[in-house]
Amino acid sequence: MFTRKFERRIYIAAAVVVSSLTIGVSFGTYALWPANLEIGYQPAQPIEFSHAIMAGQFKIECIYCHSRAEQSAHATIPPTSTCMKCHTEIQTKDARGAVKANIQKLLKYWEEKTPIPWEKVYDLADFVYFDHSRHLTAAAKLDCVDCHGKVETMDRVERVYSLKMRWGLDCHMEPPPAGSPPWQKTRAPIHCSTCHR
Amino acid sequence: MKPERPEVLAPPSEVSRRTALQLLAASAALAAAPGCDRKPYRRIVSMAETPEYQHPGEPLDYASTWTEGQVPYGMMIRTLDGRPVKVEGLPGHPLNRGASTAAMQAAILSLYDPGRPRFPMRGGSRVTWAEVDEQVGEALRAARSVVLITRATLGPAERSLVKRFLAACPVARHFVHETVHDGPRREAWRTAYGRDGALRPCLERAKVILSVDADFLGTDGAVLEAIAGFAANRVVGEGARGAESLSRLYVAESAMTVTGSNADHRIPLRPSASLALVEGLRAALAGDRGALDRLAAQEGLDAKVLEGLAQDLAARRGEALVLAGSHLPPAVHAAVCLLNDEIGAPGATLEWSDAAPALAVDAPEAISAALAGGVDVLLLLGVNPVYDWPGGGFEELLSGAGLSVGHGLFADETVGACALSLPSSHNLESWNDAQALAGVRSLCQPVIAPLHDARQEAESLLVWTKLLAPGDAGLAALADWHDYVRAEWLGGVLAGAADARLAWEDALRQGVVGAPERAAVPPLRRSEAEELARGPLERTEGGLELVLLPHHALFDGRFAHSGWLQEFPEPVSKLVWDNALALGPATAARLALAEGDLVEVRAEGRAVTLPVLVQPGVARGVAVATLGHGRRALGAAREGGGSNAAPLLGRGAAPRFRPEVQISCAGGSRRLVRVQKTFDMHGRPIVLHGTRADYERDPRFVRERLHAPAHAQLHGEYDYSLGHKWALAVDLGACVGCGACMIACQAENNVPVVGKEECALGREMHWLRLDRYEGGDPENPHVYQQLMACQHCDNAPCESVCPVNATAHSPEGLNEQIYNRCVGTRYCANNCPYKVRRYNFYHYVKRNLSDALQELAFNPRVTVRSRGVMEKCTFCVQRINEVKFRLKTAGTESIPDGAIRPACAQACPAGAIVFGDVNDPESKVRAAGASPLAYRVLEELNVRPAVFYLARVTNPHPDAAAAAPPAGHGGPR
Repeated sequence: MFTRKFERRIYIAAAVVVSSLTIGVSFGTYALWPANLEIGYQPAQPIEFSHAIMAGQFKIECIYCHSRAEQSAHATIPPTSTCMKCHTEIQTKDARGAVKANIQKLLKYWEEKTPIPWEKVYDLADFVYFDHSRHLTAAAKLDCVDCHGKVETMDRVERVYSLKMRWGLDCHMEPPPAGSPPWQKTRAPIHCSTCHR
Repeated sequence: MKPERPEVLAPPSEVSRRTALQLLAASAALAAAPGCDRKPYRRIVSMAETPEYQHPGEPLDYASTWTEGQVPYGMMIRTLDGRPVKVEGLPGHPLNRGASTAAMQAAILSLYDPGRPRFPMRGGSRVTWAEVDEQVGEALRAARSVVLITRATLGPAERSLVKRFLAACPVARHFVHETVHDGPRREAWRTAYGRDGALRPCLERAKVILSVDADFLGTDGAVLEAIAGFAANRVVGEGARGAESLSRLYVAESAMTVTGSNADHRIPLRPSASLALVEGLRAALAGDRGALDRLAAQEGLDAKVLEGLAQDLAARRGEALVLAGSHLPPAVHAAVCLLNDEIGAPGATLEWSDAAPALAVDAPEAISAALAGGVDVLLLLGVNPVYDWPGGGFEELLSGAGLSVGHGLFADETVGACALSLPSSHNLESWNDAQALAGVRSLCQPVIAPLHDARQEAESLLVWTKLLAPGDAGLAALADWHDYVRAEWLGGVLAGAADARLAWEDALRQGVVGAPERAAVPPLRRSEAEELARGPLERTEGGLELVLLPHHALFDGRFAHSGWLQEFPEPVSKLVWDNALALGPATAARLALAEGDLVEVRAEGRAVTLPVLVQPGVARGVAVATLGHGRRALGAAREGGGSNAAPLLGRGAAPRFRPEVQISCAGGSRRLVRVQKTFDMHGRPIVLHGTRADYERDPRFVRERLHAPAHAQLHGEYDYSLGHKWALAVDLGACVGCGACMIACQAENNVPVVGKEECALGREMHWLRLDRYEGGDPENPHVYQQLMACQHCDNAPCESVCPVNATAHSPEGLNEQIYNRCVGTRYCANNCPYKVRRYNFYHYVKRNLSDALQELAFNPRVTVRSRGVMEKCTFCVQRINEVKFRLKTAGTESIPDGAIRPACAQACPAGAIVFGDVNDPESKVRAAGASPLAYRVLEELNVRPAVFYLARVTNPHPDAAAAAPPAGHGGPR
């Protein structure tokens, strides 16, 4: 039907299309698989702890558990003893009258004095040095939700920003707030050693 | 004028370098699939309960005492998340006042050393401590003879425990073994003053100092205190201080030492002539110059310098001080006591302390005699005689013991040879106390739970004492060594406190209690001193005199396991990972020996093979070897080389001075690695210096020696007028070149160890180095030292050649190196005129890691670099950010001067390094910059460094000025 030369071209084209589709689909699947996402990363936790209940329903302040956020580089994950401040008393029962499974898990960790191995949702590379206190106090005055999203609506915490350098720089490069010292040309410093050292 | 190649200077038109790179990166990113860069999943684990005061990632400092060295210094240990990460000097300790030594800084590395033994062993198999105690207890109860050997540096609590042990075990005898000690000096003091104690030099009050072979700024005595006192009188131009406040240092020495490198007049002198020098000076003070002239003629010394020295000692009565090296025979020390008395030193520049920090050392002959017939139990606590026994051969004495018990931090030569090998806890895991000076007591507390199944030596001795004295109710009430130390303190130093618990906790928090008791020097017993000082000293005619000195970093070998200290360039020779026999150029030429030639050194039948090091400044007819190398059983520093010089140690009053040794060619050679290849300034104005006369003629004399022509500025100017502008000033007059800053920097900034082979290729990684230049007569050179690190230039040559913008300029004047962006072209290092950039040719960190434990030694606040990345001094930007962030969070923009201190400045005992903000009108660094002595290195290149130096002003005797450094352009060649 076609010349042999043209036929060969069709075969080559078909091979290219098929192989690129295969590669594209497999890479795409990998990339969009929830566990591999930057934004939308939502790992399962050892205890199905719901921020929607604690922060949303009961309106417990973030700082009650993440207590060093305003003083330190790390917001800190609370020690189990913080959970036990309430859960020594509050041990809700399920329909069958047993203490709820998640609270049972917590009590077990507490009795054995074993640390709870939470999965890290917000993680930075080791060469990036982020300081919570700088972002929450003084001139910056950000809110937790500005970077972590509406955690009070999340049953299982999900990452809402990429934490890429560009994302951070975009914020730092905004115009300085009123009342900033005269040398401040951007909202926050943008030289390398601000975050890298 | 038209530029020759206009296209080079024209601004980029269409595609800039940056855009091109972005396009390249974008296509690379397209080639890979998006989203593939998820980082490894990690966990965040909180504690079940948090200890009081401890918050994740926030430092907690503990006061403690460094007990590993010859002198107990106050130590402040920074812990992060429960693990110690950095050691600093304790600011409140009167001896070291916040400064630290290289070995002290390296305590962090030895704590996490993977070579530390993990559990007690008997005959090669693991045993429990209970089994150990049972065996030792039984052996002690049944023994007819017991010998206990310890170090001299036991604290007061340990000394009291030893007494109780001896009381409980009447057949036991206690001996003290050290190779480096000041026994000859203390013997002379005991004779001259009739009591045991120590003379303390007050260098801050001394205007004329004569050191007779005493390396008091290097390894002899409480060097941190000495450096601070000495440096205080070597600074001019600061505030109202004129040149008249300068002290004058004469050093008559056999070896070339750190002290000699700082001398105004250096007199190369063999040790056997040191007594003649002191006696000659005494005669000269009494009006008879004959002896000095004869000595000058006989030894080939500069008679003018000796005359100047005699004049100065006579003229500056009450402000002069003479010190003699601890290795010299007692006769010299007795003569020095007499000389000091005659120049009015006691009470003025000398004080007395009844409490010597160390125990008196026993003669090896006495220990040998006690061990000769074989003892039932031999307890070796923290000593390593198999390695360092004078003359060697401790193994035979050890094998004669019924039960030998070795207790040490490492399974060293001795511990490994004992029947019971017991691991000791580290200094940072131990309870202890110390008495550095009369009236000053300090506490040592653990800052981490023991990492291994180890126990500290005192704890073991306490358990064994309890086993021997089951009826002792006082002892039975004390559960452990902590209780013992606490009870000692509550019954002693803290006795009478209203609330014992509070007093104890207060003492722990401060780390040190009391103030130095200023005691008058007892009256000199002249006839006894004269009797002891009777010469002449034994001397050789044909052979060489040998001096055995402790190594500047490894000391007597106790720190040889430390990679940091093995790779620490010895301040004089810049030798790493090795030791050698140092000979002066004339001596080496006479013996036809070249550097690296192996020679056999023989003394009384013992021979040691060492490579030759040709060291300008070593006196004629003298050979110098350092102790501390050639350890066979090492920890992580497996490459540790060198030869053990301890078999050459003599017996008798002064074992580290051998009046006669023979050397012969052993054939072959060993490659000696010195990290500095040339010691010549090649006539360039690198280290600037002048004499007091130069300074008095024109305080701005350094300007004459620089030629910084007006330059056209190619770069845009940085505007630092607002905000901070960081700068560092180094006072070359105060810096003595001890090198504590180098190890402090290494500890703070995770600088890796690379090993001898890599050092030989010039790949050492030290961010901070000490350059040393020698000029003048090679037999007695003038020495100029200079701390060199990244100069943080404004017109930084490195920044303009980086193709990926991995090195950039901060608005606060820092030259930043961004590791994650660096691709390792090394253009920057090539273009750096100061050669301070360091490149990771291998993944040195990973290469050194053999155990996860080692990772705990890293400072988590500084990125650990991997292979293919350039690195260099950052001005400790992590410390700048820490302070700045803390203050900003508290709502203030202004940073008080001195709040930020880089690791080097914090460690420096001389206070020679000042860091600060030049925009702060009150800052010290700004004042230093305004000094007439301030200059920048290679100013003519117009790179505009942020580091500046204050020229050194020496103070030679005006009549002997010919021997002083020539004051020409750029210094001597």
